[in-house]
Amino acid sequence: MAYLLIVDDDADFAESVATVCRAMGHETQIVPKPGEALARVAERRPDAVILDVMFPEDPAAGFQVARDLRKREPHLPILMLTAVNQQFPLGFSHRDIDPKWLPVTDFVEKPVDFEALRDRIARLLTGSGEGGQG
Amino acid sequence: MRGAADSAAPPAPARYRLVPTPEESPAPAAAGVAEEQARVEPLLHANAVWFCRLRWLVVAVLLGVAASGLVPQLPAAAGLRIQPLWPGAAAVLLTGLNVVFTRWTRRAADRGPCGGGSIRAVLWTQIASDLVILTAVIHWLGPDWPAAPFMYLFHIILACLVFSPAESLAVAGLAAGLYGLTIWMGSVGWLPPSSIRLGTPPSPPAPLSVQIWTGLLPMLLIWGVIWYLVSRLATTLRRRELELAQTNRRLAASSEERARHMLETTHQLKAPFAAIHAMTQVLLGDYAGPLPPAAREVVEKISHRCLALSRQIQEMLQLANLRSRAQGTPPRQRLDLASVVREVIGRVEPAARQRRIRLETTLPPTPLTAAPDHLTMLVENLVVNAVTYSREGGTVEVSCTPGAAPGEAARLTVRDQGIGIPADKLPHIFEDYYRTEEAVAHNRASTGLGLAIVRQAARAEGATIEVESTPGRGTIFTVIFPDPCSPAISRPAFSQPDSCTSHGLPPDR
Repeated sequence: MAYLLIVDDDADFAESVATVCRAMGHETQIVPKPGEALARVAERRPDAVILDVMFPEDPAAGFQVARDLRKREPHLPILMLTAVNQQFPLGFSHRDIDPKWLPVTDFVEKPVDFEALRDRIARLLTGSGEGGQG
Repeated sequence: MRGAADSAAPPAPARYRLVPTPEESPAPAAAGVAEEQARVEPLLHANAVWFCRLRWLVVAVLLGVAASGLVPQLPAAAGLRIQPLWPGAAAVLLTGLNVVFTRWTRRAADRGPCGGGSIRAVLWTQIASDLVILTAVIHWLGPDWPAAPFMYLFHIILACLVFSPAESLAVAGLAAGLYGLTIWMGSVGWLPPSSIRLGTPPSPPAPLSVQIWTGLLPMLLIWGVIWYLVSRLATTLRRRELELAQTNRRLAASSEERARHMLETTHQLKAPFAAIHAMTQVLLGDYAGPLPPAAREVVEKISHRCLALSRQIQEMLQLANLRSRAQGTPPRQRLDLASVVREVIGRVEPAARQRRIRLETTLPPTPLTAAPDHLTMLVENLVVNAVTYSREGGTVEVSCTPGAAPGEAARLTVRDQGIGIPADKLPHIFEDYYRTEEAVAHNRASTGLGLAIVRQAARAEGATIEVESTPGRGTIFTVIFPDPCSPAISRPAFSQPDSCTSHGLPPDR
């Protein structure tokens, strides 16, 4: 059983993701504010972080959280939830994963296909994420 | 977005060509002095060019007059005696000056807005030299041509049209000074009298006071009135033009603001749909307990509609992003079009396979400089469009080739055997939300935005799209990408490739 931190401001969406994770046998904690993510990680290091990109306070807060997390925990697997936005009209692809700019391990596109999500989480926890950051 | 027309006789294919054009809404101009300069400089340059062309006409007339002097019988028939020297010399001098002016004008234009001072200097020098030569010609014609001084009016009126009232008044003053100077120099004997009338020797000039009261002052009065009327009219027109430009700018800003609000609102719709879809996934995955079959069917419908709406929102956002100037031009880089097509085919193939549509590709390496996102959007929407409007069991062929013609970097061709597009509907298929009744009948779920995205992406890359379609038989889309290194290519919003950028990330990284 792994401990997963879900950083997402949308309570319904986060709870749905948490439900799937719990069904996979993992323990979850939901963090609604990006600013709280680092503190939660400091309290208890998760096995992986599932992180949204956009937050009401900052449309690109997810990027900064990923960079801050990576500085603190260089090997922490991060799964980013992405969608079409103003910076990425197509969402984004693996070629955008970059140690400085977008230091995540992998990403899943919204609307999330839960089969794909389960697959990505499983790969993340076994250390075979595509981005090679973890 | 596309329609079919079934008929017994094999219809001829219809063709349509979409060439890249500048953005529909005008770019907001810079404010204040810079705006005025940006507006006026091209006009000044156009006028300088026009003056040069007009001068060749004057040169031709002077040469004609000089040539007629070589055959004395010709002017003699009209009671004139023309010595070819005067008009010939004026024509030669004007030719030399016009060659210099033409080159100077071109050089001033090459300097762009910074060359504004030079273009004004070019115009002033042109007018001043013209007035000097005109004064010489009027003197040569002699006092028997009282209408000759009216020729100064051409320059005064032209100056009113291109210069400010003060500058055009200065031109009128220069003309008056030159005309007055010849009268005075003639009256004191510094200029020999001249006449082109046959049989009469040049008469000595009238006393200076007579010439001033009967010749100079009435002429100046007429020039003054004409200057006042034309400069007033020109000022009014310029003010209206400025007001129009300002209104246009406000409208463009308002349109941009509205588009931005729409983008934000659309963006906010994404989160609820993502949440609704996630919750349907929870239910369908039995994470909240097993669902009765009837309930499962309902939730599946909700999930399906939710996905369709999400897709529509994504397409609206893509289109809005492509149109939004606030996003700037994404960095361009060297890409292989074949790789982009292969990626897209990989994504589209599962959906095509479900409908037994075969995707066939011919993809030799096709290097290209483009924004990766634009290219992906263009290819993906064309391939999805071809698959969507193909019949079950059909084939979609996608191929790319390096450009063969000059100025052409690459060609992409997407050919389907689908429902086709009637000729009269071809010009509309790239419009937002355009869908024919036949297209809706074939596929209800399509948003009608796919080809609008293709058009915007092609425009951003300066690409031309050719469509050839036969209703009931299929459609061929050919995208012709321009070569950015070709001097003949003018690309809207085009910038040189950013060789330092290794992927399609925003430049603020």
